[in-house]
Amino acid sequence: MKLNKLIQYSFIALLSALSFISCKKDDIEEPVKKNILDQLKLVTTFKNESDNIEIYTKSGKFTQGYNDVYFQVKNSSGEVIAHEAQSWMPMMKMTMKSHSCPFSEITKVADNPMVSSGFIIFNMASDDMGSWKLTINYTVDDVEKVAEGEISVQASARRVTQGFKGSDSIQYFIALIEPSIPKEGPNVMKAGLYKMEADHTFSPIGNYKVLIDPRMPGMGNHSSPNNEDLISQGKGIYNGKVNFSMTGYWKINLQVENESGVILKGEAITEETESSSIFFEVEF
Amino acid sequence: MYRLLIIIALLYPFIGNAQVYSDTTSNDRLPSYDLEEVIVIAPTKTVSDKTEKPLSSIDEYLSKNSSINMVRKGGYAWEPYINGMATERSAITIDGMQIYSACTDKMDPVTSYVEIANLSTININSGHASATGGSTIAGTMDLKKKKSSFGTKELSGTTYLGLETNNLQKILGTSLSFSHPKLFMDIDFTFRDANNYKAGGRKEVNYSQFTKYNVSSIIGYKINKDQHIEASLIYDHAVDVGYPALPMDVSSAKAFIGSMEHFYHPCHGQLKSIQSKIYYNNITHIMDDSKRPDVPIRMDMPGWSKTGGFYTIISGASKKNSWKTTLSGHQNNSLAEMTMYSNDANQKDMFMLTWPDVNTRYLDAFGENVIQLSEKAKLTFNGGLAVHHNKIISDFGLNSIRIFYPEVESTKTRFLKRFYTAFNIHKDHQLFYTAHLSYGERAPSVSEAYGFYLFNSMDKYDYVGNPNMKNEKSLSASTSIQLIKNRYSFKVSGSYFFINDYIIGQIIDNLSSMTIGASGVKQYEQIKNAHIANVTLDTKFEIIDNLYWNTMLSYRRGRSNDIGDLPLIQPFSFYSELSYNFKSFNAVVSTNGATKLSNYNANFGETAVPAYALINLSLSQSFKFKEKSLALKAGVENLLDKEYTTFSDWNRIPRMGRNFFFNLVWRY
Repeated sequence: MKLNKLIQYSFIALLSALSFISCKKDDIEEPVKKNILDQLKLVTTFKNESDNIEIYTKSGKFTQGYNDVYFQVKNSSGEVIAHEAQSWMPMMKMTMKSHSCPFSEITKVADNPMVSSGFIIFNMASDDMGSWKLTINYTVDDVEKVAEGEISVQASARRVTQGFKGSDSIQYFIALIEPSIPKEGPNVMKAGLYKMEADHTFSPIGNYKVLIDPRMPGMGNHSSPNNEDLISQGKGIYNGKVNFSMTGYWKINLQVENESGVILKGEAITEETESSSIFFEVEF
Repeated sequence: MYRLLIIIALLYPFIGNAQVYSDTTSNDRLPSYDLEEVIVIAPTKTVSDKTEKPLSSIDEYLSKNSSINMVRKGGYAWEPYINGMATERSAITIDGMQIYSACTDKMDPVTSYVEIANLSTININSGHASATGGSTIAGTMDLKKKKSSFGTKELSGTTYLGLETNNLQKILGTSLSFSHPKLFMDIDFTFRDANNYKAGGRKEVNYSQFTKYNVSSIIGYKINKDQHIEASLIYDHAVDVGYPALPMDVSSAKAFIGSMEHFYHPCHGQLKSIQSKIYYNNITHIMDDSKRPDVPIRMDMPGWSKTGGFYTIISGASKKNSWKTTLSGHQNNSLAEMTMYSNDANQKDMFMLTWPDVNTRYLDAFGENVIQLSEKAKLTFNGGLAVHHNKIISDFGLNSIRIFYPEVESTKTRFLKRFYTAFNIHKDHQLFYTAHLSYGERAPSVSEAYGFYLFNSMDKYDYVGNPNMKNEKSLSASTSIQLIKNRYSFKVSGSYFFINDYIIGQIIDNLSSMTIGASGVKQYEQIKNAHIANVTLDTKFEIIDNLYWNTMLSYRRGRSNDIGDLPLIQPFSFYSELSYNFKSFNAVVSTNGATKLSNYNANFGETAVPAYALINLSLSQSFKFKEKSLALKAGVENLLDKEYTTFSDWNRIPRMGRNFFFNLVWRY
């Protein structure tokens, strides 16, 4: 009898305890902020007569499409020195012509003023036809300096950039920024939209809209619900939401709409039209 | 107070309830005094070989009960609907143990993990009268395992052999029982193997094969004269199970169901017994389409369900009062995934969680009091309160749900209440009257709350769960009148369920279905209310000595103002048999059938079903050799080889055509 009661009460206690544990909200601790460089990998080092400029990205390489780029300057004895970044210019040299690609201004990293950062969207990979050169202008103690070097940009496995001619006869360029690490469920989606000028430079386009329709061609071309079209955030950046209901290969079909609501490029997906003429690809 | 309850009970006559089907022979004239129904399968070791087909599947057994319909997707693992309601609305337990099925497509109801040879009785409660079933809408079904008792030292055994010609089903079983003053032990093993069955006209129904192994054992040990303990284990493994009504089959469905139970039963005082059990079960269900030649994409859909729980039932009685109080709880984890193998070698396989790794915790307190008002009348009332808690464990799964419900939390807690009152009275043990009134609530099932693109092959929609739903609530009343005379008996019973916030899938416009070929997406939503009524008439006559005529008629109706007819509701059905029993010989001619199904709902993939009637025959003879006995049974079902289907056949797959069966039971 005693044993019986004991068993009985311990189970009650156990279950109640379990119930309470489960009701408690999990405490999520903010990760301790570390040196930004600890999370990055060195891609290359540019050398000039006085300094070594170390260039970092998350993956340790440059890939076609959007790249967050970080750099710091070291003197000849290997110490990190303060610098003021002025400008940069990626340039693709091809046999007949040269062109640039979209890139941001350079800013200082908030928690590490020795590091500068910005983004570059390579519109093509380095190949036999041409190679990329990056030039960085900076100052150390108000002395202007230049560092430059050839960089290798690897081709992206999936389509993350797209150049197209709009119905307004303007040459546009759109690139996927986020999700960089796609996951099941809702994802913040970000893209950069630019106009290609006559001199082969790119200028950001604002106040357009990018309509999205994610589809799975491998599974009956089904879509996901509750996606949000991309809205202009200024400086050519557009934000929205894309939902992935499963892992695998997704095609995010695009339509670019100007400020007066005219579709400049891209088609709505129907039974007959399985794909838009402009799209991104995501696979995870 | 009592008077008030009586008045309430009396106000609801003839609208509703639980029927009786008793598998015992016509000679057994024990009245079903309570509303609880008991199907006796193998009451004791004394031979009850008068059942028509002792080795029929549990599905066939249950489908003969008038309060149950078995929804059929093939030759195996039919889903029991209690009072016209699906398994979400009922609780099916094995010896009071909660078990959650592991298949998102309801291809493995709890009943599929036991064998008829494991069981002694099946208790079916309409409404909310059960102590361990927990809070439900339709009722509860408790599958009681067969067990021996303490007694003189004895070892006995049974061997079963069965053959069915239609699908070449081979049935082989053996069970051993050992009794001793301080110990008992039962172990049994059953094997079934069936090929595709043939519908009327010898048309083969592809993918209807199955193979099943079941081992079950129970050991009891007497500690002293007041206490004993029992340990029980069921291992059930079905392999290569075809589901002709579905696009996928099951390569393996495996269950471990184990428990330890302590009994305290003092032979003095008001306290009658204390029963305490802990249990655990683990189900692995592997659904795939590897046997299907033509599919748009290959898929695997495994599912896992693990449940641990306990209960303590304390019961006692005084002169005019008997009472019971129960504390029970369990925790379940349900996880199901889907992998779609890409047809394009350059693309990765696709993966999703169809059940997002959900924990369900459930704690339930229950009390019951039965008052003997007089020698002839008694009043029962009981009530229970439960806490129900869901938590999504997987972030992957939670993110999936957030596509539809961006704000959804990973946890949800609910309180579920239930009340029940019943009144029973009889006159001279000949005329019986019962009535009950009950109220119950249930939480949405894992599929209804968190299911993710679950394809329903009947209405061709992908179903998405809805975590924001309220509890579903049901108010039900039932009544029955039974007259038992020497040579005849007569029973009419009826029940009525009024269900509020009824959960059902509703189409969401303009959503793209995930499943290739699906018509769209449905989301579980709640409609204001739904009504279900059941009526049954049961008669037995002894026409001349040893010749009996039994008839059962039943009808259900389910409706809602919002959606019209409820799906999968039985039309008028009948069963009638003439049986001749003389000593150990028994012959039965029976007919069963239904009128045409005209109250169906096309929005749920239903179509009309024509009326049908079948004729069946069976013969049996048993022989006794001192302590041993041999029973031989043979019969034919669907004698005229009629091609037919019923309201409960998923996608209207045809039922079995003519089938001869032979059963042999050897007891030693």
